[in-house]
Amino acid sequence: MKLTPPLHYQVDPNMVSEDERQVRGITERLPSGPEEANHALRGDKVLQSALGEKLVPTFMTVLEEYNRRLDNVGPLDSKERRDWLTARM
Amino acid sequence: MSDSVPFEAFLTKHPQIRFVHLQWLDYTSTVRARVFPLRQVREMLVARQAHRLGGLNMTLIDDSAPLTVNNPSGPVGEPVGQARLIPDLESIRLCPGVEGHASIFCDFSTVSVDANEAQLTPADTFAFCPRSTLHCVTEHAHNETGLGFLVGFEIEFACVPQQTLATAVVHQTSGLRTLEAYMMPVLCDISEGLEKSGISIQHFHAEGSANQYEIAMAPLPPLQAADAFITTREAIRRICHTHAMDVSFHPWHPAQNGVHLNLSLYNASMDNAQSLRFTGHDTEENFLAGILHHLNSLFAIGFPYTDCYHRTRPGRRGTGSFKAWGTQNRELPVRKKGSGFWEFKFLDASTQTYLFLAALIAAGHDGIQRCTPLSLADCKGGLLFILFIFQHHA
Repeated sequence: MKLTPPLHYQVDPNMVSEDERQVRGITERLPSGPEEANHALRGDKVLQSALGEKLVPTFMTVLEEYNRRLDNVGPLDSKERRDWLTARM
Repeated sequence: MSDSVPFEAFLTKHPQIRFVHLQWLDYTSTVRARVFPLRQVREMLVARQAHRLGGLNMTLIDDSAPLTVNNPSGPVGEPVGQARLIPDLESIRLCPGVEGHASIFCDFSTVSVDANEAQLTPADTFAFCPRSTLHCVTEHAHNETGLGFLVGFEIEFACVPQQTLATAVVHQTSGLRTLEAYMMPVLCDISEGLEKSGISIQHFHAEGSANQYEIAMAPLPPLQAADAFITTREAIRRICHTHAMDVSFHPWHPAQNGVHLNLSLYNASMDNAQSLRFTGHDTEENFLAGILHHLNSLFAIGFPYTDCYHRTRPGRRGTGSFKAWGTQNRELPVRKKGSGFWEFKFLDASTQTYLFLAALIAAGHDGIQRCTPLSLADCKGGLLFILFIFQHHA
């Protein structure tokens, strides 16, 4: 039996097929990391204008540098890196 | 600078105050503070004198400057010269867990003292200040749409005793036994400290993974909510340490810790002609559509570090990995909780809270202004879910 996806059902988009996601209009994945998200913010004139033309680029420079520091501390799942970030957040 | 009347009224009510923190949240979501003896801060306020400091104090990573900003020097400042802390005296409150201390949140002015301030707008004076930005964005959205905003945070954290316990603790979500193992007095101290400082707590409970707890805060207007959230985060850290507990807000160690931001819209000015533009359902859908349209940009602020993206893994009650929203759906970045009422899950304790909230409101406001259609359907709950999954896996 093939059940037509109903208009409303609780769905974890990760658990259904590509076709089934299409029915919901779910076609985009969330950013995979800061690089992809930062790229979006750099190109987002509306938010840059709302938050400040000076603030946004400065803010992003700081975050990019912070990510470089984290990478220098250790790989993503290393204890050193976990401890470093835990002490700061 | 604001009038010192609220400051004196506060001191009359709390004569035990000996020290006052002037504090601000920098770009890395680090609370930085200058602590003043009461006499000194009082003299400064009476003389309407701002505290001056290096402009880099907004952009430091720990203690080093990561950047050079090549802005031309002019009347509008940049975060490299002198800056001034402009205290928002309405934000004065007791410091939870530190007897005799009070704190005041400050806006960070990067305009040189020589500039003719009469000719400058707040956008110039506070061009690099996230807190002031949140204030401006909220005001602007309110003036244009007649909408008001209420924000309530839920904060998750892991807490482990520094000394090994004699008996093993079973961790059960919302379990009373779990709470009473060792955390009840700690969480009561945190809650009472916050309540005494004027921050209302809705409840606390044991959360979904071992050693994890959550405190839910009462809703407030955006700026006050962000101030209250930062005060709460720091109170949790401080009071857990007092009780010899190791505390962690880390996104996945030892528990998957995040922050949930509950935002609701309301019609703030029924007697205001502009409020006629608030048409309920359309406004609500456009607001959400605006947020979804700017979702990737919002992630840049909400999840600043690679480490935060652990919560985008599927099936972990985080954000999931798809751009979607749903009524009472806990596997998505946006969960609709009611009419004009959503929970956003793409932030944590490392988020610059003021900037994130400003971006969220600006994105929603943009959706209203452009009448952005809501193209994503509601992934909402219901019995059919079970049928569907059954069919899918059969």
